[in-house]
Amino acid sequence: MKQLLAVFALFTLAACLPAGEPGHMHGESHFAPHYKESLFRVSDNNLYSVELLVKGGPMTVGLNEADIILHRNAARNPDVEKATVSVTPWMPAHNHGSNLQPTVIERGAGLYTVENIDLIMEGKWDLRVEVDGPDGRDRTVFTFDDVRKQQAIGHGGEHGHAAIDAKAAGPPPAATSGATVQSVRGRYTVSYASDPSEPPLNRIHSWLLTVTDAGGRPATGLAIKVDGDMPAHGHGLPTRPQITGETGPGVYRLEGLKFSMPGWWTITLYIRDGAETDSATFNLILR
Amino acid sequence: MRAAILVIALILTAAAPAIAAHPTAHLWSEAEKATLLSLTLDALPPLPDDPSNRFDTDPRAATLGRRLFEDTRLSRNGKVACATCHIPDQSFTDHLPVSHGIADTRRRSMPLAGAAYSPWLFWDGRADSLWAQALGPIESPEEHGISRTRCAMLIKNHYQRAYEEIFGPLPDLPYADLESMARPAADDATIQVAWISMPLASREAITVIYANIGKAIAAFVRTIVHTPAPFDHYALAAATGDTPAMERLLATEAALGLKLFIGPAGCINCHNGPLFSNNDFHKVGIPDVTGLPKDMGRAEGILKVLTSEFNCTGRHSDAGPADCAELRFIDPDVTKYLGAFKTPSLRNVADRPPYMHAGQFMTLREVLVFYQKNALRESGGRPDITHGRISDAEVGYLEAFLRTLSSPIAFGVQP
Repeated sequence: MKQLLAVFALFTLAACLPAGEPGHMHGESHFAPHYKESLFRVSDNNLYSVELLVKGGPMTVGLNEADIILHRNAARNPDVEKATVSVTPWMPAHNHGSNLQPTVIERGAGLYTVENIDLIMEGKWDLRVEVDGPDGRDRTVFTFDDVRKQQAIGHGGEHGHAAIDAKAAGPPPAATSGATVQSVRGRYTVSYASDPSEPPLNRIHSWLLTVTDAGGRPATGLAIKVDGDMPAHGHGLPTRPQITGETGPGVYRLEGLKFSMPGWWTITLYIRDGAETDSATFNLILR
Repeated sequence: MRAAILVIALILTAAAPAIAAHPTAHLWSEAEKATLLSLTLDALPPLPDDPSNRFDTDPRAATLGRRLFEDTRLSRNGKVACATCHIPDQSFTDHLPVSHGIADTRRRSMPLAGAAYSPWLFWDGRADSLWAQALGPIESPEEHGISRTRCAMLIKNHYQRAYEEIFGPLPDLPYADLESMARPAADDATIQVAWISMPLASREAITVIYANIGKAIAAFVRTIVHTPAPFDHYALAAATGDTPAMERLLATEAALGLKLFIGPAGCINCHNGPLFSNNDFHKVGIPDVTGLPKDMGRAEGILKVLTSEFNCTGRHSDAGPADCAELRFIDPDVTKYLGAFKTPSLRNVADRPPYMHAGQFMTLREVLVFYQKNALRESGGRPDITHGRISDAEVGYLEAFLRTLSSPIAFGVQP
């Protein structure tokens, strides 16, 4: 029934595209997601938009199901019909996938259901989606930073649902130096200043992070862990950067950053203040 | 339609030595011009001064290092020098699938030009400085097959004056009576026993001499650098829009290959910067060599460099703790780096077959065909390893481009 509804919703929504809100733009293409809570990506070579809707909440350890909605990058974004879609879960940090190959069933009107997404352990998972469709073969990767075991009592709570990942949802913005972002839970505003001012390629270097709380005051004494990722490539940084000290109130020195490829990188800060946790992600483009 | 005819023409002429003029081969956007310049030797910073080796810019050390580099007495059979596998007029490699010192090794000798720019040395990055690198082969049973005690004796007998000018007086040791094969040796109990039977102070003094040998060789190896290749001249011509010079410097195929290299083929993902290497480690799924033990690559290198007595934070290093950022922030994830090897520089690549860490491919064409056909599958689907969909003709263009990266190698001159 839910599927039927989804198909129905798809038909009605498809009819009003692309006149509605622009949604996420990527290069020259004009794709838009259908669902607010979905993860939305444009495939690497701009051929298709890929919208992923995980059924029943966030991805958890064990079997998961998801809907994928595919559109072509052409006028009025036609549905992708009769494509061969393959979905592969991958754990980039462990360099392994899953024991099961997920099953993909075409439902029509660009909707594909993916069953048996078997995430065999907690941690960071990529879902690699490859589409062989009317415009050729293309791919994209959705990243789930913090897949956990299903909570016994409901969802939410302090650990939240890291499964909905800002990285997967947003295309990379233009590179900015001294960029400022809000943390996911809104507790902090974080900005970085790179030394040198433009983050260099292939050179180990450091950043100064300035963290303020919701009231604009310096956030001191935080424990911050850092992780970097190249979402389109499914791999992380070649180094393990670390916070090596708080050089002033709310100013943290981040050392050991290194970007080994040109392209879109994300740097995510996992911020802990006592029992409270939050995270913030910078997007940057290395040239 | 015109495009289709052009494509057919390109395919038909792929086997021919040259293709007809191509309308856009030498046209570059501003962004592409910037990328081309980022690959030139002009973009290379000055040679780094290794903080872990306070002698690396000393010309006397480089002179001594060059003599040691060529000295076959630094080997068990008197026939192996550094220059045996790093032959100066062969791009400092040896054209063998795996190098042969005292015995066969399991990997190919690496080219040395520009090595001073690399934070990690060897295919697995098990050394974090040129001097630590130089010390590995000397005590390796398959390479030079000698020990630091023998090295101390050689310095005393043949290089005392040159050594002392740089490093100060040789310590007082019973040189003539030193056990000739004694070193820290996890691989050989007899040699290990001979080593630990010596007084601690002697072992310390001998290891200092040994480290200094490495530092002298490093001072020489540091001077081995590339000179501008046709590509470098081309990139400068492209930046100024000098089309006649561009057409003279790169054939149409090579220019089309360069377009692929920095564009759809994605080669530049890893082969970036003026030395065409990100100095990182990647598992590209190169097949193992029959008869050789499974090679763990960087996974092994991580453990070795972290435990090396000659690493940046060790007591023979001249660096302060803040100088050792690469080692301090190393990614120790051995699982991630299992079977990963260092991205080699592509400068002079056409001059030094065979290819990959154990000479798995005999020709450049074979390497490119591997990336064209197999890399995605063999690497376990890693997208940074894929090179898009490359046609057979395009493989030829990429090869033509790679051939424009060759130039004479300079060495022995202090920059």
